[in-house]
Amino acid sequence: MMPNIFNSRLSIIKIFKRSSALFINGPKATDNFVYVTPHIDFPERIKHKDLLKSELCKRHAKNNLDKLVELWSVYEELKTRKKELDEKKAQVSTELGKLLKEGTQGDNLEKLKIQLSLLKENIKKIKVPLWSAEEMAVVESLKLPNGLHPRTPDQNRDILFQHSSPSPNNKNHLEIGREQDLMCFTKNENYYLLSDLAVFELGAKFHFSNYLRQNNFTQFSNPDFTKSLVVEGCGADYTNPDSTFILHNNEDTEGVSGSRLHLTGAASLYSFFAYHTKNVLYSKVLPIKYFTIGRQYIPSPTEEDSLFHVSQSSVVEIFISTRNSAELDEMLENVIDVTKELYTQLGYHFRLSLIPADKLKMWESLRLAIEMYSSSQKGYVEVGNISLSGDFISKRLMFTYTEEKQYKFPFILSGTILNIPKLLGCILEQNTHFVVPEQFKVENWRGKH
Amino acid sequence: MFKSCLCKPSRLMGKSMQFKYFSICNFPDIDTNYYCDVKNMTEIRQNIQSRKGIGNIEKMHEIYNLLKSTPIANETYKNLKENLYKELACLPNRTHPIVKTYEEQPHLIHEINKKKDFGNYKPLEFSEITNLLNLMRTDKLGHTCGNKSYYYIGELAELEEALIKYTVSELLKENFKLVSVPDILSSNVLQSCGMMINTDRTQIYSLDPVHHGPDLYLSGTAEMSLAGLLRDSLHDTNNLPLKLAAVSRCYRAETSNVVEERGTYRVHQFTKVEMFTVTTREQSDDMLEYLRGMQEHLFSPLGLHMRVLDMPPHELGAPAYRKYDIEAWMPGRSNYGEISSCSNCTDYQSRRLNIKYYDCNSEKYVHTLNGTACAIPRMLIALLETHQEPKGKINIPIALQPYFSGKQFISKNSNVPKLKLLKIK
Repeated sequence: MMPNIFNSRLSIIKIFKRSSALFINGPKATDNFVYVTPHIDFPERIKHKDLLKSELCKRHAKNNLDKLVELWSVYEELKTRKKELDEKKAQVSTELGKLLKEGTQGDNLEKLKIQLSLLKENIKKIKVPLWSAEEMAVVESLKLPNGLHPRTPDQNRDILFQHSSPSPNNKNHLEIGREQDLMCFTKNENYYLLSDLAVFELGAKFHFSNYLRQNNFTQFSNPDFTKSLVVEGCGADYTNPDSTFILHNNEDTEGVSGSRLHLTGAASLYSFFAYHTKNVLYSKVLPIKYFTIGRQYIPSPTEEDSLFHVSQSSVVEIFISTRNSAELDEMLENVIDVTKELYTQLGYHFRLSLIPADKLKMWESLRLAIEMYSSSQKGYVEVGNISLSGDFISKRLMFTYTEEKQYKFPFILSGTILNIPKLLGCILEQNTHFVVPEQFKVENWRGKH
Repeated sequence: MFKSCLCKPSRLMGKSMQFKYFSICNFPDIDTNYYCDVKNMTEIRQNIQSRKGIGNIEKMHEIYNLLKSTPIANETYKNLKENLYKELACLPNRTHPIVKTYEEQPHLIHEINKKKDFGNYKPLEFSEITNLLNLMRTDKLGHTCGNKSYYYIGELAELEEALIKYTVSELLKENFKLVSVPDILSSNVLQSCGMMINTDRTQIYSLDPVHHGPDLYLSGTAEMSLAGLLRDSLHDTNNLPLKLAAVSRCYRAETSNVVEERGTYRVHQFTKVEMFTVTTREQSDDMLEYLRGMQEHLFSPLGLHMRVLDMPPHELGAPAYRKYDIEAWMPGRSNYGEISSCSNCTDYQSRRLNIKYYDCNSEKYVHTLNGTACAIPRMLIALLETHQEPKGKINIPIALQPYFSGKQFISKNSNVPKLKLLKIK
């Protein structure tokens, strides 16, 4: 019964291996508990194919849009075919029921019976390829990066603001830390900050925390673990040990692939999204502004040892949900002001710049980098960042709000507004002798009230 | 005083001492003079029994005797020696003579602060308070961040920060040296602190060995990371005692179904301020009293009713020689709950980690001690349950107020909306 055109195209489906913790369908959905099903907006996005293509090009993204279109059409065709069969089956069933009720006998009845069993068989037959086609199309479309914000530069970074100027010298923070006995650095995965540097770490967190509270941000204290589905929802490859630390299976997750625990750290986008996944808010509560101070764990990708590449960082993370892109843009301005003020107060050279499209993560539509100069690197280091992701992750993890009895997806601004080891590395290289900045000193941990 | 001895052990140590533990041919310098002396057998057997710990002194002696009669050149010698050290490593530390007399019950040292009188009001439990005031989320988090996860929200998260500021400020006044520690450690550091990696697998989280390498574990307490920092170090007597403090995240895989440990009483991850000290062998008894005094000094102004306990032998972990616990009264649960402990580990850890001091031309093993300065989840339980008001607010102890933006109480949080789970899948 299956039309021939499918046969050749279906062959590509068979070689498909599952690779999503976020989207689970068909028989796998009975093996695994499906907590959330992402909202897929590919059909809407592909309506503006040229825009999508040019954005992928600006990002230097490797997604094969034509292949995705093809997969999606196979899926749509099978879906339509299944729908037709279902409708036909319903129609035949009704007719058959009518005849049986009337007590009619004869050829017509037998014909309908045969037709119904054939239809049932065909529906059964089409299910497996349909599930495969759906899985392929959806999983491939989940790999599609976010759209670009109009302010994201095509090529070079766009410097928005600069405070004082760099004072280049030849200092290296690791050497200074060692000479002054302030640091014990074994490797990127294992380092200790001693005495004043440890005070610096806490003091920096407390100072930023205090300032954010004064600016109506609400404080959170989050868990450090997140599950694979959240990691994938936030646009990272949950199977890649270079992107998150994966915990050893314990009895908690045994047997359920794609549902591992990841050590991401409390102060991360993952942790805030783990909080909001599959939850609804009322429109009137938005926008909401949250922050947290805590750990962030990211596997160190490089052999080069320094505070700029450590896998454990104390950071300050912010998370803002808004109703729409206009409100999001407004919030970005607000956060830029907060950032300028916080960093200007510290008195060191820094700059704020917008990162070009090809440097963005797949979930970002725009990134503002907070950069300080490092003498040892002879270049700028991103000591913090602010990202816009719009409704991209909200759709994947079903973070929703209701407005006029409709479900909508909040637009998100998030970011590590301060990465303390990176800030510390830059500051160490600017001083002759390290002193804890005034704002971070223990005497100032007690507020002035 | 913090200097040189920590990061550059080689500068201070002879070459002969730079061996690596737990490799095939080198063994920790466990006190064989004591453990292998037949005269001490009864005492050691008695000690294992009263501590209800593991360890088999008979088996150890058997191997020891066999080893003594085996020539070094014999091929079984190496194997025997390995087995001997395996047995030796299981044996617990000695027990303080006074503690030996306690039998099963802890000895009450004294009580601090009176129990608060709530009159006719029946005080609520922590989870009920946080629910009413919208200060914490624990429900439906299993699928996104694992079992027993919790989010402190708004002023409860602020209170966590205030407690850390308060505690660390007080410790710095006492000249503790602050250290920021790594949370991912290798197994030999954990083992040297008395954690049994293989038998206690469920207590410790580890990273996926295929993806991240075979030997990485999440620290259960900063004590482990601090001990790791001091490994292979030699200290000048004049620099002792060395007092360290750290604020860290602690990860514990253990689960509990005991009703008394419901809610956030026992959790998989939490923030803790920890004290760790290094002393000469003569100083450690006094240092333990000092650490206990420090804990009392930190907790008393918080207005909690507490009892200070000298713990009986069976409550001591293998490394501890003596341990004090402080239990706070938690009125909502109507029960005491342990909020801190401090232990004198004498030379149990230093022998395994090779931490020594230089005294009158000879090198001796230091004594190490550790104590909780503030473990957040239980401290928050004790604080909220003790200082709750019937009208739905929580008073903040005066000592904490300067670190809490000067606020005198916590009230209902209306900045963070309550969530509703989406019905559709």
